Amino acid sequence: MDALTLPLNNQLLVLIAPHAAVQMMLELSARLALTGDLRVLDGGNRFNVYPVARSVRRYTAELTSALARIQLARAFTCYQAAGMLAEMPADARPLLAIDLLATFYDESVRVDESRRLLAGCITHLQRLSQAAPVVVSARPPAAPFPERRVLLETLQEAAAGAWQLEPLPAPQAQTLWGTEA
Amino acid sequence: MPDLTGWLLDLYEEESGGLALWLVGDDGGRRRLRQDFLIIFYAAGPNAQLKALWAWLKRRPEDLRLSRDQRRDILQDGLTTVLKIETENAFRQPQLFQEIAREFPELDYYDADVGITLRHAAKYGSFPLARCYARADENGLVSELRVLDSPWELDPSRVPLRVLSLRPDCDPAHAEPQELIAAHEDREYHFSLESERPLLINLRALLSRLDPDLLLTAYGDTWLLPRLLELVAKHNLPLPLSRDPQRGVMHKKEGSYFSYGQIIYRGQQILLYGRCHIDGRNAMMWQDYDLDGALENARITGLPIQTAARVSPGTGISSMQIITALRNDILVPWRKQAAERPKTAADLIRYDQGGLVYQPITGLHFDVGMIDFISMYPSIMVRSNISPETPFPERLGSSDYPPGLIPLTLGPLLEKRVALKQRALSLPAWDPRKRLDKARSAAHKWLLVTCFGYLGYKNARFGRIEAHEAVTTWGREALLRAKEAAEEMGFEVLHMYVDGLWVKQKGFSQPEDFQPLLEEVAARTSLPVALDGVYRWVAFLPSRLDARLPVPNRYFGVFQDGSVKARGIDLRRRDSAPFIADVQREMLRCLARAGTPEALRGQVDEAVGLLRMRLRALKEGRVPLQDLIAGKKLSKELTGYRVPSPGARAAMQLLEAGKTVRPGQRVRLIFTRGQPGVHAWDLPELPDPAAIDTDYYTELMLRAASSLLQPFGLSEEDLRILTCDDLGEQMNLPLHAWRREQPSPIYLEKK
Amino acid sequence: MGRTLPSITQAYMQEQAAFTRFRRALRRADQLALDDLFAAARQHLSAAAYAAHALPMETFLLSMLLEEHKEVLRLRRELDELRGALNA
Repeated sequence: MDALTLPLNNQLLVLIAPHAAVQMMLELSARLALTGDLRVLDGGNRFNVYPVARSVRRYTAELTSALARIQLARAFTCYQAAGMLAEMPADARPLLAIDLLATFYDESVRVDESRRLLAGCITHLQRLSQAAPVVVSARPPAAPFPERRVLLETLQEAAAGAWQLEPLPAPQAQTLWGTEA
Repeated sequence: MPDLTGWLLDLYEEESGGLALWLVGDDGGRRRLRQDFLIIFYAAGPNAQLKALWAWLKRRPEDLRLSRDQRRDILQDGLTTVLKIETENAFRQPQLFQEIAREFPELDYYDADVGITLRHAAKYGSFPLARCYARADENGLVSELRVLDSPWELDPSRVPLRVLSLRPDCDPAHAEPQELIAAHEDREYHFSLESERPLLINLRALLSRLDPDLLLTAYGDTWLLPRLLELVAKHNLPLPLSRDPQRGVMHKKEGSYFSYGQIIYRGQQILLYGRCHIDGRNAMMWQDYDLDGALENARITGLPIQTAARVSPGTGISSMQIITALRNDILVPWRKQAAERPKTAADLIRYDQGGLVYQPITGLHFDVGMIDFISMYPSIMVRSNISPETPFPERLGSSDYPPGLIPLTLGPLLEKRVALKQRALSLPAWDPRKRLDKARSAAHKWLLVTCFGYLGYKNARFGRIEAHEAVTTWGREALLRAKEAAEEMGFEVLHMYVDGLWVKQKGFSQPEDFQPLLEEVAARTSLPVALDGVYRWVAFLPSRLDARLPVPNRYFGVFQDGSVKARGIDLRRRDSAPFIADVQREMLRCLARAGTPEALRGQVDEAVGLLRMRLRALKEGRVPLQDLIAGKKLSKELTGYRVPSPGARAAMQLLEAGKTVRPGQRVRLIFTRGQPGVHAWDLPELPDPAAIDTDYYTELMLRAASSLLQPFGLSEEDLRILTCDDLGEQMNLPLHAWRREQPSPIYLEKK
Repeated sequence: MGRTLPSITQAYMQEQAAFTRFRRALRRADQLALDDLFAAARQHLSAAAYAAHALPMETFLLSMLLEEHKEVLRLRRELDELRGALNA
C-alpha cells in the first residue's frame, strides 16, 4: 500500500499493524517533509531518522532543509503522551503519532489509568484533526495482556477511518503452563 | 528527662500521629523519643477540580488544615496555584493521599509521596547516624532538636553501634540448615534449629541482653527471619526482633519488575522498628561495599539505614534530589509530566548519542599514560549547571545562571568524593582511615555513576531528556578537546573511551612527563582530570571473530607499580566460573611480572605452562566443584523460552525439585556431558564428578586464555596445540618456535 | 534512557547488509577485497558518529577512501626506502 494514495484530509486516521506500521509512518514523514512542515509524536521510541533521510534523498538533494521541517517529540510515558497532546496548538501542520499506544501498554500503569489518559489524548487528537490531517499508528498489545485490547478498540472507534494493514495475530493457544511464547 | 546528645538511629511514623525517634545516647542508652511533625502536601489543577477536592476533604474525618498557596514547580514557568493540605498524622498521610489520588486522578500532586526521613532531613538537616542534641519532657516528647553534623563530614564521629549477626549454618537454598549461629564481637552462639522452643527462648534472652542496634543476617530477608516468625506464631512465644515494643516487623513482599529491557528481581524484606536489619545476601551493593559503605549511603541519601542497604543507587539519588528540592522550596512532583520539547529530525541525530567511543590501535604498547576525567558526567552537570530547569549550556565549565537543582544536589557529593580521593593518595597504608575511606568512596562512586542515567530516566521526578543529552554533548566535546591537546603536544592517541584516553610519546615514561598534558586538558575543559597511571605495557584486544576489527574497552595491562588492570575479558564477567576467571587472573599476573619488553617473552612461555598445568588438573578431576559453578541469569519466565538456555534448563531442574527461580535471579550450574548439559548447583544432590563436561570447560578456558595471549601472537588454535598433553610433554621447545610465519605484534613494536 | 537513533555501529551493519546481494555476485577474491573496505570503514565509526550525518553511508565511504590513501602513503614510503637502499 503506497502511503501517497492515503487520503489526507483534515481528519483522524488510525493505522493498525503488528509493528505499528513504523516503516510506513517513516516513509510518510519523508514525503510530507518534502513539501511542508509536519509534527511527529513518537510514542514508542521508533523514529529512526536514517530511513527517513534516505527516502528524502531519493526525491531531492535538499536533505537538510527537509529534515528541518520535521518537528519531533518523544513520549516515554503515557503521562507525557497525554500532556504533549493537550498542549499541542491546533494549526495547519499535519501530525503523525507513531506507535501511540506503546506507553499505554506499560504494565506498571493500571489499565483504568491508561484508559483515562487515552480518553484525554483522543479528545485532543480530534481537536487537532479539525485543522490538519492527523495519522495515528498503533499495534495490538502483546499476547499475555489481552485486557489492554480495549485501548486499541477505543482508538479505532474514535477515528474517522481505521486501516488494518495486516491480519492481526490469532489468539494464542492456552497450554498448561500459560500461553506459548 | 535531661538534655540528650547522641546519634539518630531510626525514625518512623507513630500510628497516633507524630514520629518515633531512636537515639543512641552518649551515655550508652538507647532512647525512644516522640516528636510532633507536620506533613504538608499540595494539589494543583483546574480551579473547579480544586474546589471539589476542598469540599471532599472538608467532609473527611481526619484533622486537616486547608489553604491556598502559590509555589514553584521548576518544570513550569512562574508560580503554580496550589491547594495546601496539612496534617499532624504522618502515619495516615500516605493512605489519605492514595484515596485522594483515586478520587481525583486528573489533578497534579506535589510533596505527596515523600518518605518521612526525607521530610525530616529537609526540615532539620537530620540523616541516619547524625549527631544530634535533643531536649524532651518526661514523656519523651521532643521540644527541641538540633543536628550537630553533616553528611559531608570527611571524618564523622564513630557511632558505638551494637551489632549482632545471625546466620544459618548453610545456604538454605542448598540444604536444610541445622543450626542458627549468632555472633557478637568475638563470641559465637550456636542454636539447634531442631529444638524450636529453646531456640526462641535463648534467642529472646540474647536479644534482650545485648539489645543490638544492628541485626546483620545472611538470608535474613528470604529465609531466616520468616522462619523465626513462623516459629513464633507456632509456639506462641514472642521474639523482640524490633526494639519498639509496640511494633512487630514490617514485611515487604518479593517481586520481579521490568527496567530497561532487563528483569530485576527483588526478594522479600523484613524490616524492624528501632533496630536495623540488613541481610548481607539481599543488600544491593554488598559485593562492592560492606556495612560501612551501606551506612555512608544512608547518611548521604537520607534514606533509613534498612532502606538504603536494599535499594538501588537510583532511589538514593532521587532521595537526595527530593531533600534539596524541599529545602529550596521547590515542589516535588508525584509523577513526572514534563515531556521532551520538539526538536528537528536533524537535531535528533546530533543529540541522541552517548559518549565518544574510539576503536583502539590494537596490539601491545609500552609506556602508555592513561588520562581520566574525574567523575566526568557529574562534574559536567555541576560545573555547566545542567538541570531540568536550566537552559542548555553554552560552554564547558561555568554558567550565567544560578545553580539548578541538580548541581545543588550533586555539588557536595562530588566535593566529598574528590576530597577523599585526594586524601587516599597521601594516607599511609597503616592509617585506619584508609579502609573506611575506601568503603565510603565506593558508596559515593555508585551514586555518582547513577546520577547521569537518572537524569534521562523516564520516571525520574526531576529527569529531563534534554538535560541528559546536554551532558553527553559536552562530554564528547571535553574528550575531543583532550585529544586535540594531546596531539598538539606530540602525543599519539591510542584509544579513547567516553571519559578517558590512552596516550604515548617517545621518551615519555614517568608520571611527571604527562603533567603538562594534564594541565592543558584541565585548562581547555575546566574539568578535573587525573593521570590514572603509566602502563609498563598495555594490550588492546581485537574482536574474537575478526582480528582486523578493534573492540573498544577491551584491554589489559600492567602499571609501573606492578598492579594489573583489565577490562572486557572473562575475569570481569559475573557469570564466568571461578576456575576460568582465576586461571586468567593468574596468567595475567604472570605476564605482569615482566619488568622489560624483553622479559615479556619469557613470561608468555610461563603463562602457557601455567595454562597447561591447570587444564591438566581439570582433566584429571582435581578442580573443586565449587570453582566450576557458572552463574547464569534467568532473563524471562521459563515458559518464555523457545529454546531453553543453560540457565533455563538448570532452572527447570530446580523447579522439578520444588524450588522456584524468578526472572532476574541467577541460577548456579555446572556443565555436564550429554543431555541436558547442565546440573543446577542448588539441587539436593551434587553432580557426579565423572559427568563434568571437561571438554567444554577446556574450550571456555582456551577462549579466555587466548584473549590474553592473542597480542603476543598466539591464537586459540595455537594454544590448543600447545596445551595438548602429548605434544607438550614430548617436545619441550620454546614457544616462538611454534609461531606461524606472520610476525606477531611483539616483533613489530619499535621502542 | 531514550536512545531512539540506532547506534553508529548498528547503522554501519545496516549499510553493510544492504550490499549483501552485490557481494554475493562478486568473485571470491573480490569479496575479500570488499570485506577489507568495510573493515576499513569500521576504524572510524567514532568520527562517523560525531559527524552526525543524516546519511552515514557517505561518511563510511569517505573512511574507506581515507584508509586506502593511508595505504598508498605507506607504500610510497616503503618504495622510497627500497629505492634508497638500492641506490646506496
